[in-house]
Amino acid sequence: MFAEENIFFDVDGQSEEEILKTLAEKASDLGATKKPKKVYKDYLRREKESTTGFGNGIAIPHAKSKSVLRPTILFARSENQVEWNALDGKPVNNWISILVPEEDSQVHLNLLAKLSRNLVHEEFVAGLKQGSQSEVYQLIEKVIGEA
Amino acid sequence: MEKIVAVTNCPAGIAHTYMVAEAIEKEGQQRGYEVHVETQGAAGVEHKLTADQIAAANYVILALGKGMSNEDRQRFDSKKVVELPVSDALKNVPDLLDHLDERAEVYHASKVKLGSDQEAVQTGIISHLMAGVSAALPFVIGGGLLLAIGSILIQFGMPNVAPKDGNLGSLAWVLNNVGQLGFTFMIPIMGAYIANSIGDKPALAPAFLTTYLANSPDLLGTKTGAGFLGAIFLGITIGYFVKYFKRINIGKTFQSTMGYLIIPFVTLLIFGLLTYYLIGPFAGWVMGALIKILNSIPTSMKIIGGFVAGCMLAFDMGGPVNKAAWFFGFSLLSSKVYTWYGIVGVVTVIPPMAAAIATWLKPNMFTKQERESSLPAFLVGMTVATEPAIPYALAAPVPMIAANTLAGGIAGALSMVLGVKRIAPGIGVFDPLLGLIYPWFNYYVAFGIGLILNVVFILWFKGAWLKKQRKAAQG
Repeated sequence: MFAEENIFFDVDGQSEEEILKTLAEKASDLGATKKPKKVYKDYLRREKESTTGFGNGIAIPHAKSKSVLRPTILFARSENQVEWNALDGKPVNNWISILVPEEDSQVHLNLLAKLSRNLVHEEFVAGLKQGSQSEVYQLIEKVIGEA
Repeated sequence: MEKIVAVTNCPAGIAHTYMVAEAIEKEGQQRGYEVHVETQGAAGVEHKLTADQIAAANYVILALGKGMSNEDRQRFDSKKVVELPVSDALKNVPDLLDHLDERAEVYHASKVKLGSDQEAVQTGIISHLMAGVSAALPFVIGGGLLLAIGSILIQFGMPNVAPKDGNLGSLAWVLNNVGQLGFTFMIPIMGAYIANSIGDKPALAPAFLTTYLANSPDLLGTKTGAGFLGAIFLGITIGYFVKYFKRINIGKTFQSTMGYLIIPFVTLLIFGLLTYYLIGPFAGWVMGALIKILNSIPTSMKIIGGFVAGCMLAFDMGGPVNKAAWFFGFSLLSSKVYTWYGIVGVVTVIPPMAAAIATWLKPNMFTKQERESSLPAFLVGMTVATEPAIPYALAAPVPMIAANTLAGGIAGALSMVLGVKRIAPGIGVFDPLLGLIYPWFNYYVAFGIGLILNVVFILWFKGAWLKKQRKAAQG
């Protein structure tokens, strides 16, 4: 579900669309999907319903989709700030993305719920935004690895 | 200490549901509230609010991203409710908690529920039974209408032929058989949703399968299936079994497999065997005996039974007494006993229609408000529910309830004498036209006499009551 190789600190992209496309391709590289284009569309659809940029420069693009093969968490950071229609109106440069297959086990869903719950804790979000690759890894792994 | 309960959900059920739940819990507890948050996410409903938690809560927060059904909403009747989009909640939970009292509005659940003559949410066992009934209703309504169309087609001379030698079945045959499926599955669905209401999702599958088994004489080798008794017994037993099963702690490694693997497997194993060897045959025997008794009641006794059922149905207009008689009639449908449900079809439409007609005949016996609501009461009464009669009864309980009950009893007895049969719930007085009630002529005779009597009784009893009131006022 999550490994250090799921963290990308150098993603390119000037716009929301470019970032989502990149995330979908990275998910495909990791074997989480065979249909990155579909996943990209699923991301977009979710963003259209309401923004996943919950403020503080971080967004949580996510999708529950038939095109997803296994539950996957991706973390991405970019050099430049990207406009995301975020709740606080500020641009975003950190993304924590959750992909879930249409049918998934309670175990994974519970872990992902736990991860989401942590995103409203300021220390956790600050750690994600400022941490190094291995710090981010440990921070997320600490939440979802406890079970 | 002030208390808050909240429900969160969102489109995908992955992120916002849980973020907002956590934020409300965190911020609320910091401010000294007692907080309970139900999450309706991809993982199913978790931390489901109990009736006690809701009753004790000062405020209800509904942070919704995918809406909430009226059925689900019923439980917040008369509470102070703040409803807002989940993304708005996420934006600023502190602000939300700052202005709880200004933003809260008292929520009133609608008392009239579509398509059934049942009352709003009750608590305890009855609420679980009604959860089963409301899940089963669409099966008999949909299936019943298809059966009705099928039988109308046959009456107009269309062939009723099963598929044979590579030929398709005739249209009427197909409609009848698809419709019949609704009746076959209404019982397991009822059992499944009774169990689901008590023990949540893990209870659903075992209860569905075992109730189906208990209701399948061909699998059990018995004469009759367990019918609604089996559904009630298995639904409740499995529901509570699972409810307590869930509390067992089997260690972190396996705990997460409880809901979708261990509980359904163990429960199905235990109750599958129990049903096959014990519950099924026993419930089948009870049901068979019950039907035998009902069918062998001499006609004179049946008339008394019909009178009692009619009185009960009219007495509290959708309350527990009405419900008991209604449930009895409805549940016998799956055993192909239709006359008791026929009484429901005749009696439940009468009280509101009679009250409305009485206001038209003698306007001065009623208040302005009663007169103005007469047309809606008449329309809703003739199609959907008995509840519109309640306001009229509350205004003058003794004469109105006496009139309704007496007329209801007579109509019930008449319905039994005339052998009125109702095969599924539909739209009240129009059911005979849909083929859901037959014979149509007998229905309208029983209904018409009941209605006229009810109106006469109202005018008579209420007139006497008013006279007495006036005398008392002068004296």
